[in-house]
Amino acid sequence: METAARPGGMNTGTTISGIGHAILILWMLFGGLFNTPEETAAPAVTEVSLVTGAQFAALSASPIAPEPTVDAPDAAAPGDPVAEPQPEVTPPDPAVEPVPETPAEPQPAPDAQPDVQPDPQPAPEPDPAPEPAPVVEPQPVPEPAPVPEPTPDPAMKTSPTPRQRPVQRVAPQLAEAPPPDAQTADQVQEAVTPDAPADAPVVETPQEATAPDEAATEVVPETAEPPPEESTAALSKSPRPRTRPATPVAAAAEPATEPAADPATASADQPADTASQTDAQADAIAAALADAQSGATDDGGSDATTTPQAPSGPPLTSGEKDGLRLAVQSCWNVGALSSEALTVTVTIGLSMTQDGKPDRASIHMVGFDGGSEAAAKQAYEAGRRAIIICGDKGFPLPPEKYEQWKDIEMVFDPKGMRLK
Amino acid sequence: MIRLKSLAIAAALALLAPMAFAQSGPLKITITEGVIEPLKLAIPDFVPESGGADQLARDIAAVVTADLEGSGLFVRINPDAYISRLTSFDAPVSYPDWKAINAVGLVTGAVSVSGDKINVKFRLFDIFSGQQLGEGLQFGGTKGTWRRMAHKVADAAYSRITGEGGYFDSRVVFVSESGPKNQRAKRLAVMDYDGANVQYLTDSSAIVLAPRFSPTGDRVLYTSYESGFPRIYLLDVASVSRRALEDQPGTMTFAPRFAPDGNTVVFSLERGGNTDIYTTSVGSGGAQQLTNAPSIETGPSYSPDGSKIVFESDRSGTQQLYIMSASGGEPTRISFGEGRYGTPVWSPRGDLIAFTKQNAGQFHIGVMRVDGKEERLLTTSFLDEGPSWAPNGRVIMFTRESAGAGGAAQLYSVDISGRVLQVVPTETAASDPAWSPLLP
Repeated sequence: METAARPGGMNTGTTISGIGHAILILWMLFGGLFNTPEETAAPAVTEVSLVTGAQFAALSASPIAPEPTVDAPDAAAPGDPVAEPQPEVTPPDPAVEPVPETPAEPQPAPDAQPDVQPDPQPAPEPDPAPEPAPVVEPQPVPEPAPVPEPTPDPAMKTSPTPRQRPVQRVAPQLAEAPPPDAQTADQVQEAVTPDAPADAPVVETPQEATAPDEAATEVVPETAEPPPEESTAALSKSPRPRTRPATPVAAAAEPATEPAADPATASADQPADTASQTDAQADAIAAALADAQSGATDDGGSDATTTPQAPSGPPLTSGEKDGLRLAVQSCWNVGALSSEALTVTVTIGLSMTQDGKPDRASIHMVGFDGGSEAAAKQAYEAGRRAIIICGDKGFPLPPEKYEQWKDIEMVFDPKGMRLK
Repeated sequence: MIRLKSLAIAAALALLAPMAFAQSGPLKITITEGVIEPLKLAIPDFVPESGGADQLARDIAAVVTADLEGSGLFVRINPDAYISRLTSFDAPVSYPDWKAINAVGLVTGAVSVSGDKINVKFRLFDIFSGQQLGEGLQFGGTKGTWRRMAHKVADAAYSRITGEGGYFDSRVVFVSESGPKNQRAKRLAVMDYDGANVQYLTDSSAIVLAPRFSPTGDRVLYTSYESGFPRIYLLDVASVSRRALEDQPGTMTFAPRFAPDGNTVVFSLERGGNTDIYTTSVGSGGAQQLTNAPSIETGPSYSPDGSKIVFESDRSGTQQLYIMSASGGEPTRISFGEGRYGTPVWSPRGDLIAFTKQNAGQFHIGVMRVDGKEERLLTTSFLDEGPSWAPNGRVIMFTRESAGAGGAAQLYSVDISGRVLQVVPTETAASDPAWSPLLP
C-alpha cells in the first residue's frame, strides 16, 4: 500500500498553510453567497469596482448569477485547490451494503433415486412356435412426440453480472488508510460476525467491518492481472438438473419443525389426502430411521447426516478434470440418439475404484432435464456406455487424490451436438 | 500498519484456503462434446430351426443388416470377429464375449419353414447393460414376404435402440423413366423402400408426374397428361383402378396431396393463366378455393395435424415458401434466403419442412423449421428436387438428375443430418419418389 505524497519543503508548507487559512477565512465570510450551482458555471469574469448592498443582496437572492456581477476576490482562480467544489459528505449508511446475490448451488439429494432404472427383470422370451404359431404382430409404432424446448434454467437468470476487479481508486479527497482488519467497501459500516449459509435460518446477518478503500495518487491499469474466477458471469459448473422430488425423506428430515396439524381439522379440511399423507410420513420416518441405523452401523456409531462428507486432500486440478472429461467424451456416442434424446441433459452418478475404473454396479441416473423419461433413459444409456467403454482401462486420474474422485457425477449435456 | 495489514490478509487466506479447496459431495464434471459414430452391432446369421431354412436365415439376416447399416446409425461387426457362435435361438448370451468385441447390441433370430409358411423370431440384447432390450418378437407369413419380415425385425431393432420409429417396412411410389431425355417414357411404379419388389402401376402411354401416397398407403394420387392436359387421378393400389379428380373443363390440375385424414385432397388448379390452391373431397368432389392471388401458388403440403398448409408462391417476385391455415386466409412467408424455394413437404413429425432450393446455379435439398429458422441444406448437385419424408421423419428421399444429354434421374436418400447420403437402387431411371407410411 502506497501512501499519498506529501508536500516537501518547509517554505512551501507555510505558504500553503497561509493561503489555506486566508481562503478559509474568506470562505467563512463569503462562501455562503456563492455556494450555488450556478457559481461554478460562470464562464467569464469581469472586474467591477463597487457593489452596493442592495445589489449584493439582489445578487445573492438571484437564482442565476449575472455574469458581470461576480465579485473579483471570490472568483475561483484556476488551480486553486480550495475553490474546487467539494463532494457532498453524507454520513455512512448504517445498513449493510447489498451484495450481488449468488445462487446457492443445490445440494445433491442423498436419497434421490434414479428417475429411470433399467428393468432388472429379464424380458419374457417368446414362446416357441411349434406350428404356424400365433404370430406376435408388432405394435403400431407411435409417432414421436414433438421435441419440447429445453426449459431455461432459472439459475442462468440469476447469474451475477461481472464485477470489476478492485483497483486502487483515485478519490477527489484523500482518504485515510483503513484499519488493518477492515475490508474495503464504498460505505463505512460496523463490524459484525461472519455470514451464515444461504439455506440456514438466519436470525441476523453478520458482516465484517468495512471502510472506504485507501486512495491512491495514480490510476492503476486494470489489465495487470486477470479477474478472479468468481467474478465472471459464466457459471463455473453446470447447474444440476432437476431431480425427482424426494418429499417423504425431506419431510422426515425435519419432523419437529412444523407443528402437527390438528387431526380433526386436517381431516375436515383435506379428507382425501389424509391417508396418503399419513402413509407418506410413516414411510418417511421409517426410511429416516433405517438410514440412521445403517449409518450408525456403517460408520461405527457416527452421526448419520444427510449432507455428503467433503473429501479431504487437495482437489483435482483443472488439467486433471479436463483429462477425465476428454476421456469420457471420446466414447460418448450420440449418433443413434433420437432427436428428443438429444434435448435431454442427464446426470449420471458413479463410484470409482482406486485403479480409476468405474464401478459398473454403482452407475445410476441422478436426474435429467428436458424430454420424456424414455428419451432420458436413452440419453442415460449413451452416457453409461461412454463411462463403461472408456473406463474399462481406467481413467487418467491421480491415485493420491482418490478421495476427491472416488464418487463422480457426470453431466452429459448434448446441446452442442444437436442438429441446427 | 502495512505489516499488520499483511498479517491480517495472510491469516484470512490461511483460514479461507481449506474452504476454497473443500469439495462438497462427489466430483462433478460436465461433458458437452461427444462423437457421432455408428453403433456397433453384432448380427449373426439367424438360426435355421427347420430343414430348408438355411438360405432364408442368411438372407433375412442380410436384409436386417442392410437396413440397419443403411440408416447410417449402425455398423455390423465383421462376423469373423465373433467369439460366440449362436447355435440355438434360446441359448444364453455370453455377454463378455460380445463385450470383448465392443458390440453395443446383439441381434439374434431364428427362422423356421413349414410348407409355404415361414416364421421369424427375433431378440435384441443390450450388451453393456447385460440384458435383453424389449421383448422377443416373431413374425409369420409366406415365403414371398420374407423381406417384409426382415424389415420388421430391423424396424424393431432400430426403434428400440434409437427411441424413434423405424421406416424399413415401407414402400415408395415413384416415376420410372426410360428412353432418351427428349423422348422419355414415364410410368408409375411402387417398390420397397430399398428398391426391391418393383411393381408398375401404369403403362408408359402418358406422361405421369408427382405421385403421392394416401395416409393409409392404399391409394395414390398423381398427375397425368393422358387427356393432353395435366389432370389429377386417384389410383387404388390393390386393384390398380383409377379415376380423375376435379375434371373441370378448361382447367389444369396438378400437384395433389392428401390431407392427413385421407378424405381431402389439396391441389393446384390453373384457370385462365392463374394458378391457385384448392381442396376437394375424395368422396363427394367439389373444389374449394384457398388462395386467390394473381401469382402462382402451388406445391401444397399439409401439416401432420391438418391445420396448416405450406406451399410455394412467387407473389413476392421470387419463388418462396408460405404457410397458411388449412381453410385458407392470409399466408405467412417463411423462407427469406437467397435463391428460389419450392416443393415444400411437411415432416411427419411436424417439426421441419423439407424443400428444394435453387441458388447460384445449384440445386439443394434442405430443411428448415416451420417458422423458417435454422435452414440447413443437406445436398448440392446439378439438379436435386422433390423431397419426400420417411415415415419416421429422419430420412428424406429425392430425385437427383445428372447433367448432359445422357443424364438420367436417380433416387437418393439423405438423413436430416446430411451425413448419410445414399443411392436408392432402381432397375430404371427414377424420379418423383413419395414415401408411404409404415406398413401395418
